[in-house]
Amino acid sequence: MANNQHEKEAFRGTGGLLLTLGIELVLYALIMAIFLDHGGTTLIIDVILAAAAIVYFKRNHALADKISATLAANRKAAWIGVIVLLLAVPFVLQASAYWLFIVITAGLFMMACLGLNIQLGSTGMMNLAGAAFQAFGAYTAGLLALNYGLPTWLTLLAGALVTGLFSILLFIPVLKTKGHYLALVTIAFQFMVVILVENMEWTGGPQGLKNIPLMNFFGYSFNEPLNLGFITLHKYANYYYFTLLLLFALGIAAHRIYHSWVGVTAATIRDDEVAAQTNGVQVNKWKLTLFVLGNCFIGLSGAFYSHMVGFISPPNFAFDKSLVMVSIVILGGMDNVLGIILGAFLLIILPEKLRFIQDYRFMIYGIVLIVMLIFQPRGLLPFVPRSYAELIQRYRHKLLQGKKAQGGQEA
Amino acid sequence: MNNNKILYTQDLSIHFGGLVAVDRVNIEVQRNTILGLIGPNGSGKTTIFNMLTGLYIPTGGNFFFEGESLLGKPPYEIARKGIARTFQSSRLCLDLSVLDNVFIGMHPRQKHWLTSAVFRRSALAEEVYQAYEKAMHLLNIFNPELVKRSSEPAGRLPQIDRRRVEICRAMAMSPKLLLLDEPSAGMTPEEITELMNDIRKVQQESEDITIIIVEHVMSVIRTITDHVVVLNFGRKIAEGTFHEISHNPEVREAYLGKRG
Ligand SMILES: Nc1ncnc2c1ncn2[C@@H]1O[C@H](COP(=O)(O)OP(=O)(O)O)[C@@H](O)[C@H]1O
Ligand SMILES: [Mg+2]
Repeated sequence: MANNQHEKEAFRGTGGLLLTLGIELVLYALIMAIFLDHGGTTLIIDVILAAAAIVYFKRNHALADKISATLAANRKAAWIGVIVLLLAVPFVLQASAYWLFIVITAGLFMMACLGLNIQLGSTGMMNLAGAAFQAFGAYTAGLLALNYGLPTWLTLLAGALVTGLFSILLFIPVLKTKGHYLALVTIAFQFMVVILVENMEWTGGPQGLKNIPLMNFFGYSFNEPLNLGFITLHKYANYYYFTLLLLFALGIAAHRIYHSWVGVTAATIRDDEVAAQTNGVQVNKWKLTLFVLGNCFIGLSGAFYSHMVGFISPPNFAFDKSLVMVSIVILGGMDNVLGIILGAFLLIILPEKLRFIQDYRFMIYGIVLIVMLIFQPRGLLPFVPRSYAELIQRYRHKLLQGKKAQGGQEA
Repeated sequence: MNNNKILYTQDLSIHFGGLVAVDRVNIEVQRNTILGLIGPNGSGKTTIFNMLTGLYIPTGGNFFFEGESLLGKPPYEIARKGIARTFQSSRLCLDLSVLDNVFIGMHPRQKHWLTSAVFRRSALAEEVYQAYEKAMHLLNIFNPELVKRSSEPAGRLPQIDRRRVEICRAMAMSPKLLLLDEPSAGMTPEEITELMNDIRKVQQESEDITIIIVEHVMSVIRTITDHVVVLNFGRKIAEGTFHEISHNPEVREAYLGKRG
């Protein structure tokens, strides 16, 4: 039924396909131009264009609906387009490794925020200790690699899992407190962790850990330029592609969790714990599970960071970073996987371009957050109702095939 | 005979500080009947429901469901034993879709969680399909319109449909005992008539269901209940058929005293 609707309202056939790819290409060009432009002119032009587009489409709902229907109808092509364009990023940014690095950093924030979103967005558990959990992942990976020479794949995995395990420590207070108190407890935890790391000897104290081995998978070192035969990309391209791979995997996992019973359960706990309990939900068990799961994502991003930069110290995991993570989730859209991508782009990449506002960065975050919470508390992206269409379609298909097979046997 | 009592309480009591909200109440509910629980505002009806569902821990007495004491059990465990409820002021998740609200009622029966969600989608697909059929079936019994609007946020529905969805959610648990707390609150007389039909449908839908209903609207109590218990200031002051209690002088006084 949904498909018929798309066909009715969408631009059809090749036109629709070209429109889809065209939109992607134009958006991509506008974004890449921001990086390539040494000044800020492109950014200003883009902001004006974006504002104009928003105003225009607010007035022209019909066209906006038609375009989104077209995108939906050409979903496969749209995804292929997105993947190709994302794969091309290191080529486009060949001359500016710095921006590639920033893009990877944003990717790591996305990774962490996918986890934070499971906690805050889906289940309603405020976690202002994101950076502290990143520290768990980063130090675990760093120490294991430095002291025991473990391979990267294992230290990354350990970084994620150890962070998940340690988050059980914070969990007892998480269970006993709610709302603002929970926020305070996680802030306290954040400061405790940083102070501990700063004052313990085996974490390297204020100097942190140096010379952490960079990523190396089964003999392939990420520290060498990426030689593709026809072109040699900067060594960051290795990290970029790996981030992309992880983000796709984690993004799909998060998306699937959202569209499942786990998503329903989490949302019910968030919206009404009493209703959840009286419907048989073991609220504490689920909160613990999802809190740990979210922190595994965050820990992984920390472990990744330590193996990319090779040097970590307490200021890398300070409170302001936790604030940025929460801001990304709130800005992009609570309980919305795509919103995380948008939020990280707006809060990590854009400010990097706006160097002149660096000093006011946190003030601007604050203003953005306050404005969002007042006018658009569910985030920039609209709420996505959980859809079971894909799963149901899948099962119906299986049923039909089963019947056909049976019919064949009988005949 | 004993086997026919699905639920009974023994001197069930609770006090909040100095206030005795429920005072040594003994209730027996026969299987497959509808019990009406009435009494003036503040007489302890909702509090009894809260104790029966584990949200409040009684400070005295005990209660038995299917012969087993559930005293001190957490709400989720009581729900899993087969006691479902609705709330006086609706507790739907208004931002979630109608369907999601019904799905949460099936939570205890669902088997496919995190690993299936991520790695074994086809196993989850079968369970989702069955849950979907069941939810649509339930919604359709109450109001075919709800089937059409099943993917809309519950908050967009009119009051009466929200109540229906809440009852559907409770029914999705396939409970043995259903507690309805003032389901007609805020409804027009026509809607109340519809609601009574809905409750009958609930009874027909399930072979084994017992209902306790808290209600202010006497026509509802008169029409659908088999037995009525009257509370006043936390105490049971009378019980019997509607006819019996409506001629009981103490009951009349309790009501007239409050309302008159
Ligand atoms: N959690 C609570 N804390 C203190 N007093 C309560 C609580 N819950 C109920 N009460 C009191 O218990 C009494 C019975 O309330 P309730 O069961 O809601 O009455 P009703 O019969 O109208 O449903 C009231 O006096 C109410 O104020
Ligand atoms: Mg009440």
